[in-house]
Amino acid sequence: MKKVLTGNQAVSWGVMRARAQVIAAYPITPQTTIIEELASLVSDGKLDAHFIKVESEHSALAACIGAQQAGARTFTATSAQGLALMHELIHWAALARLPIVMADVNRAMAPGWTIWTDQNDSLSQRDTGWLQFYCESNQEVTDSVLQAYRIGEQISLPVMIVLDAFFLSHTAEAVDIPEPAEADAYLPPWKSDLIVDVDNPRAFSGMTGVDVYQEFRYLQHEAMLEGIKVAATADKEFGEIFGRSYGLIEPYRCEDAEAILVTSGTITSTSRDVIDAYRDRGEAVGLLKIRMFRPFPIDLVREALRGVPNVGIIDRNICPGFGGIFAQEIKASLYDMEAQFRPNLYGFIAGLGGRDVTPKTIEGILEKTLHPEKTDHHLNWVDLKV
Amino acid sequence: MSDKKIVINSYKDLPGAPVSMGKMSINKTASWRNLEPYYEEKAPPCNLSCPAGTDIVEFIHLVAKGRYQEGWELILKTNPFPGICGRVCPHPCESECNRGDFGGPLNVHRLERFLADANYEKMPRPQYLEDKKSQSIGVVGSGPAGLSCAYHLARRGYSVTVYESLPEPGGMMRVGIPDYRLPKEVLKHEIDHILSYGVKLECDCRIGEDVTFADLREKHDAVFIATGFHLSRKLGAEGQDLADVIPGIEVLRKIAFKENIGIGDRVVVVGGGNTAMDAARSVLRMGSKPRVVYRRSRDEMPAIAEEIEDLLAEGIEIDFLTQPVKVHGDATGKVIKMECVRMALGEPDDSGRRRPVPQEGSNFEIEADMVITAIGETPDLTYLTDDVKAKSWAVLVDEYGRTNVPDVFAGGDSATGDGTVTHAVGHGRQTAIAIDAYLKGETPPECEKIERTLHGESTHQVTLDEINLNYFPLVDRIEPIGAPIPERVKNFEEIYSGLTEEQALEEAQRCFSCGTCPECDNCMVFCPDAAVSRDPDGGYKINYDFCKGCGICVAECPRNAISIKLL
Repeated sequence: MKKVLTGNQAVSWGVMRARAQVIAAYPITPQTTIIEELASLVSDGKLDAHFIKVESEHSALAACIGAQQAGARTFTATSAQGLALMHELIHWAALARLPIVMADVNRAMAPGWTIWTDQNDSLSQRDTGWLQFYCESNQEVTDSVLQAYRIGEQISLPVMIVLDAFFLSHTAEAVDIPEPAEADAYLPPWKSDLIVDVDNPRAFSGMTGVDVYQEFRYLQHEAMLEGIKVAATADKEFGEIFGRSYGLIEPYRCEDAEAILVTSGTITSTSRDVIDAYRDRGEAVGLLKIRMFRPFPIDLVREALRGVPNVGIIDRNICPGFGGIFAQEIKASLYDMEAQFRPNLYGFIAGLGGRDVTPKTIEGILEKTLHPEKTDHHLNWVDLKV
Repeated sequence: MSDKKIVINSYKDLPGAPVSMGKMSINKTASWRNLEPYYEEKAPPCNLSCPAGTDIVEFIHLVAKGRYQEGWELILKTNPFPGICGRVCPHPCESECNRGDFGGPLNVHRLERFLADANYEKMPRPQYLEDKKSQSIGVVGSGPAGLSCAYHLARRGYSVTVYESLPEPGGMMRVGIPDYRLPKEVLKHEIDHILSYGVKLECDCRIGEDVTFADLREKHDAVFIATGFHLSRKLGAEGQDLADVIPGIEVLRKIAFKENIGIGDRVVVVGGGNTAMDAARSVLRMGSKPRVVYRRSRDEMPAIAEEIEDLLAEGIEIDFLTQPVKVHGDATGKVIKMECVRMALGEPDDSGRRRPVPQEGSNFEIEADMVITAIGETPDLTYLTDDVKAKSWAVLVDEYGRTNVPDVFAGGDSATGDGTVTHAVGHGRQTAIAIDAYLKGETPPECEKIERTLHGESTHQVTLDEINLNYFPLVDRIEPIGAPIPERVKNFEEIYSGLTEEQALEEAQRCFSCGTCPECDNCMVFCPDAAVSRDPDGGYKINYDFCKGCGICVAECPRNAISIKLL
């Protein structure tokens, strides 16, 4: 069934098809229309779920943690300051190994007060043990929600689906909604041995001594790494049922490329047009879309960039005092590659606080990557008013 | 405590998350509890205020659950007249209802009537509480007290004969309450149910004339006097003996038996009680133009508030603070007018109501061709034997309905003067219990006192501030609309219809269930320690090994059915 949906509605319809049982969220622009749509779906009887109204994002995630610990499939959504307010419980959900799914609509952090997009809110949660997927289109949003439950529930870890404020969240596109029976076949009900059972009372998340804490962390890390394989399989099987798959990363027209741009989120789709234009006039350039950010698919990235002379990484985020965060990750991933295959890397910061990243901007970045004589390896501010 | 020590040699020995590897039921986490919640059902105001002792809150539960037959049978345990009381009871339960300030009190009397109406076609098989007994009881009077007493004795296996001076049973229910409030077929239906217990009925049998009271005592092991108030107080004004000055109860009785009474065109009804209201509205329906004079103000009127409102709605005027001084007749003795004096309210009298004081020089005249007196009724106790202590207005009884003579009991208006069917039903049942105890040789010293039906030992009356209003929407009381005024004054058809099933369900669901547990599961759902579980025998149980005494169950009980105490 095809419907014209905004990115936020695409989240909600994905959650409906996933048959989430408990939804708790607190409104914040640009996320609010996700939970408004879900509230309507619940009140209209289209989704059989408990919708819990709460007084803060912290409580929203706490409610999801409680419900998930009791055996329910849960969902929450937030943005920016709301995500930051959840931070304590974001760690908790991951360490308690609860496969909660959250949608974060990327919004820049305040101050200055803003509602427009960049990735600093979600990237600040990099080290919490949540899987993160960055989406390019509304269709990918719906599909990623279903995949998120499938992946998270297999490895007992929470998953964050990330989409750009407004460019996706409030922009409508045609979305093919998975049929309920097919969605159910893809995503069976969640079962876990690690949930509350009144007939078998156990202590949860209690005091953990020096003798085993590190081992729990090891288990969590191993589960994250396992998540790379599980996600790849989940994406492949999704494709077999629904005819759409995305990969964990997506190399685009990268054959024999002299230069490759690395992107995430909606900058990717703009970049595709720029790459197409360059390729059409015979220039060997390509694009690498990073969809899965955590766990970081190091081997896939190394394979995709192996032997490429120049790679430009566009970051819609900034780690102040260091540089672009995706650039960091890629740099670290390639460090121990054999020197003759290791590309030259160039970091670009663009589009912070929702500033448009236009084809012209991307062309500029691509030119600087193709002809890097004056390009800084580490950090280049794009469209900076100087 | 298990003595098995768990050794972790590898991360592979760990569960997938920081969760204990064994059951934690060994850890009695309630050891530090200093408060202890416990289920304690408390008294709903409706139950506490019902003169018949009916378990109101429970029958409302049963309506809400759609269990109409059980609800009806529950009422029949205390009151054989749900169809009647559902129509004519002044419902003190509703005055006390905690919903009063939250959408209006539950429409208890219409729910009671709904149960009677819903089960009208059914006549339950008699349910005897005890085996048949050889002893017999004579009940004098077939009003609500007499029939209630007969019913409760017959249920206990006694042989009961009811003596009625009139041709038909029912007492004031037949001859005091007009058809537009209580249709005769409803009365007959509920009396037939009582007679199905084998109660014998002898009508047209006036004690003192057709059989003496002494003979009655001879014939029966015990006698219950419930002859009611069937004598009318005299007007107490000049002209009171004119032919067209008629007692209200006589008018109502004649209308009930369809006897011809020459109703006048301009009828003045004197009095502010139910008899006055009923008489005025009855003669209105017979084509007369009545008006009511009452010596005090509306606030002091003893009539049921709804009856006053309906009377005014039907266009009958009331002259308040007006007292008859003289009824004027013409040469043939025919009433031509009534002279009255205006009153003012002075200091409160014994009844607590302000005493009316005549205003000198305020006399005026009202045109009238008939005067109906309804200023109070008294019992006719002339048939009593001398050994039974009585005053002119009542047989003297204790709280169990016992007179000074062991085999003679009395109740209803002739002993108490409470004046409602429901009070009489309660007295009848109380006295049936006392007679039962007497016949079993169990009295003196004491017999069982009927209490308002409680759901537990607590007699604490639940108040509105003990209700957790978060759980109750502000929904208005459902009130059926009566027949249009121009229609209803043309005949004696019943004015009010009953509730539809949909309305009854909706109304019953408004009930707070004050202090009584309808098993809403809130305590179980909210308990953070999962220490509350359903009891297979009904209700819930608390596992005190794990209850930490946090009190959330108490706070979240919508209706104060859980208490908490310091250990």
